[in-house]
Amino acid sequence: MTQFLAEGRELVAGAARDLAVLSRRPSDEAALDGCFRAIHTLKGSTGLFDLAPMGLMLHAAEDLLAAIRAGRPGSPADFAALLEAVDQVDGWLDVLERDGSLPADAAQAARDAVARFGGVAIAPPSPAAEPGGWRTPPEFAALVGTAIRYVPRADAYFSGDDPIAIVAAVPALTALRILPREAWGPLESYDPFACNLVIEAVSAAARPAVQAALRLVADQVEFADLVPAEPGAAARRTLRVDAARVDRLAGLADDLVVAKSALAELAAEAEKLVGGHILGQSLRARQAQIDRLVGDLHATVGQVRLVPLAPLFGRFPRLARDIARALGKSVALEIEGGEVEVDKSVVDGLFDPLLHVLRNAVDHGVEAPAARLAAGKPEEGVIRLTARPDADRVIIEVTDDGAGIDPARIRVLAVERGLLPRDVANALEDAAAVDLIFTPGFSTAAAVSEVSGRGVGMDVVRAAAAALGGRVEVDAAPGRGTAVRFVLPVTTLLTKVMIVACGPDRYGLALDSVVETTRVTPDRIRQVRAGRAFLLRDQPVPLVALGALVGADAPPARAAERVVVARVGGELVGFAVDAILDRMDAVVRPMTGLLAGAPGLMGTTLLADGAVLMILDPGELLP
Amino acid sequence: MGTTVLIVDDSKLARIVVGKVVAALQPDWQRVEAGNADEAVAVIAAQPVDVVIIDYNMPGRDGLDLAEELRERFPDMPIAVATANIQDEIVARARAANAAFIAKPVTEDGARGFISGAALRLRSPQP
Amino acid sequence: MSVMQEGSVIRLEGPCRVEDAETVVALLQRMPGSTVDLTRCRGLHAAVVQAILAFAPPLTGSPAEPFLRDLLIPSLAGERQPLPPKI
Repeated sequence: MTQFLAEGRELVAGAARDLAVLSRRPSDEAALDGCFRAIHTLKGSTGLFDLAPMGLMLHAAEDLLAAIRAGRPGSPADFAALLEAVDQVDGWLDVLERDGSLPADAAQAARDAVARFGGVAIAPPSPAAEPGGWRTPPEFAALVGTAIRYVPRADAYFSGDDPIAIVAAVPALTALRILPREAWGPLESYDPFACNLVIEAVSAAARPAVQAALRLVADQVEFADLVPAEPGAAARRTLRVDAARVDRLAGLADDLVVAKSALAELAAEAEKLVGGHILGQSLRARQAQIDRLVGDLHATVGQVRLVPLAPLFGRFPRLARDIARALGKSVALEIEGGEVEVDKSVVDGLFDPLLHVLRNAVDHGVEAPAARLAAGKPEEGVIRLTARPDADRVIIEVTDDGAGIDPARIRVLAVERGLLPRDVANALEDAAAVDLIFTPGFSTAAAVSEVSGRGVGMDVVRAAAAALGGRVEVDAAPGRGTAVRFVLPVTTLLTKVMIVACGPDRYGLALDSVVETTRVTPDRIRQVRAGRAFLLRDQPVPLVALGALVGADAPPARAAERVVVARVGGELVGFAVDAILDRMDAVVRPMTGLLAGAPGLMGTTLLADGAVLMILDPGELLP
Repeated sequence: MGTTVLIVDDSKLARIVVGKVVAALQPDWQRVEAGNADEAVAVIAAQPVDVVIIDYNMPGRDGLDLAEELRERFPDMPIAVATANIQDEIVARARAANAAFIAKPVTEDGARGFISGAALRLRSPQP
Repeated sequence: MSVMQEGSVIRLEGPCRVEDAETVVALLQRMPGSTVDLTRCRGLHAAVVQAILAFAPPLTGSPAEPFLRDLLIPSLAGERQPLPPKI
């Protein structure tokens, strides 16, 4: 029942949202589909409990929605009646939670609701309706393919049939339900050879393939086609899981990664022992196996926490409307990429920064209607909230077609607020100038509006992005619009890290950018205008001392430089280090606190000996 | 009284194969053979037969024909038709005659279902 | 032998055929609290599946065969006690 209530509330909320959309745009297909699905699922669940009046009302609601989907125009009265019904269900859920059953007047309330739907031409059942009166069970509702109901005859075993083996031979099975055909009698007189089974199953294969597999028992089988609720929806079996448990799983997986790294060292030490060669080898083999398993486990746990962005994005349209109304602006919010999935923690941490950026877009970005018209723009501003995947990252952008950001103005303001001396500000390139908006204490609002709040600046947004393991950038075209871009990791992936020594310290370099490592003798090193370069197989590659970048003392002259060649911004760069120590898989935790915005630092990871290793992003370190 | 199985196939080799399979699955069953439908009918007239396995593809009357006749005379007898090619028309006729299928070439795994079902049927009253 | 009993555990090993249903039922009737161990089970005839469905003993063990492990056993366990945690 708790499950039913939790799901019920979600479905009610979804249906209400869709009906709100429909009241403005009666032909919005997505909202119609969503509302229909929610009502359909709600109706299906009422069959599990004694909720006849609710079921009746939902059935009528479903019929009305079906008719509208089939082409009958939906009137405001229709949607109002549907909304009342949904509210009624919400109220009943409250009563159910409190009392465990529907109120006494539920039947009458249901009849009234059905009457309000009155005058509806009920659409005939679609051709995909279950033949022979078999309604596919609710468990199969989310699946796609062919549903099977196989009721073997009572003497099936005597005919030599094994119904389970027959079903097992059906291709591409995705679901299976086994039930008794009739109630079991007293178990003391159970007849082991009287077949009393009903086997329901779903196959992802098309009906002809499934029918072929079952043709020898065709007279005992019914089929139904399971049509996807939305086009392109893949069959997903879903589970409700307590978020705290998943977090604990993720923490355990992280700890496993650290623990298994220690095994590698132990294996190495075992090999060094007298007579330890064989043992060391065996340990190494086992360690490699555990390595793989932990990597898989960690990746899988990371995927468990992946959730689509759609629910997060879905909160913003109403907010955008409210903010726009409060500020006297006219704004339309377009959303794209809700199906992109990210780690749950990323979704949790994104609401506040996105809201802030959205507020800025409405407040400072989009101009007042009069100003827009004067500038030749449509009165209504368009703000787009989009998400797209990019390798192991996700890029979330808030763009507006408003006034953009003027670098000159930013420079002036930065000087005025004492953030930079004038000459430094003037020397900044435009992109860097615009980036100044992320500096703490910066705000361009001549009048800090109540909506954007006082003292909450883009620096907070940048810190939030960093806390999620990513970064935020802004592109601004004065007069044309602004784009705020979040680049975030999809999951806490295991990063392959190379450990190098620079002076007395160890640093980690993210290995996915490393192309190769090499020793470079002085004769291959040239002085060039911007510094040094060396020849890598006849190709000149800039050479930078990593020590210099991190502020270590210059190393003594050496016979040869150990160089890590990495690809940075599409170009190859060589980083000279004192020594290359090791490689490992690491869980990179992003920087927090004071160092959160520090350039060049990707994050930290815990080493097996307990030390904290700083992981560098070499590209950001380059001048 | 033991169980007797009649194996009907125009190929002697095929009869031996089926015989071995039955012997492996039910060592205590008696096995008798016939080379065509008429011989089969004669065997049944001469001695009690409890289970019949009939090759579908025989000259003269085909296996299903024989199965249908036997079904009429013995409503409860376990009857199987052995065939390499289970076509839809054959399926329908066999189901109508309540005859099981065994794929050819006959193997222990392939025949097990029918044989154990037959054994079940013969030892206890059915539902 | 496909059906073995050790104390309060009924082990089903290898392929369990229609005849084994009788043995399983007899064991389940005689020792109602028994657990059925499917770790080494390679196949279950419908009659055995049916007996498990009717008597609803606790199930344990995860057989290697994908149909058994991913479809059949979850559907048997779904309605009653959950399988012991695998982790």
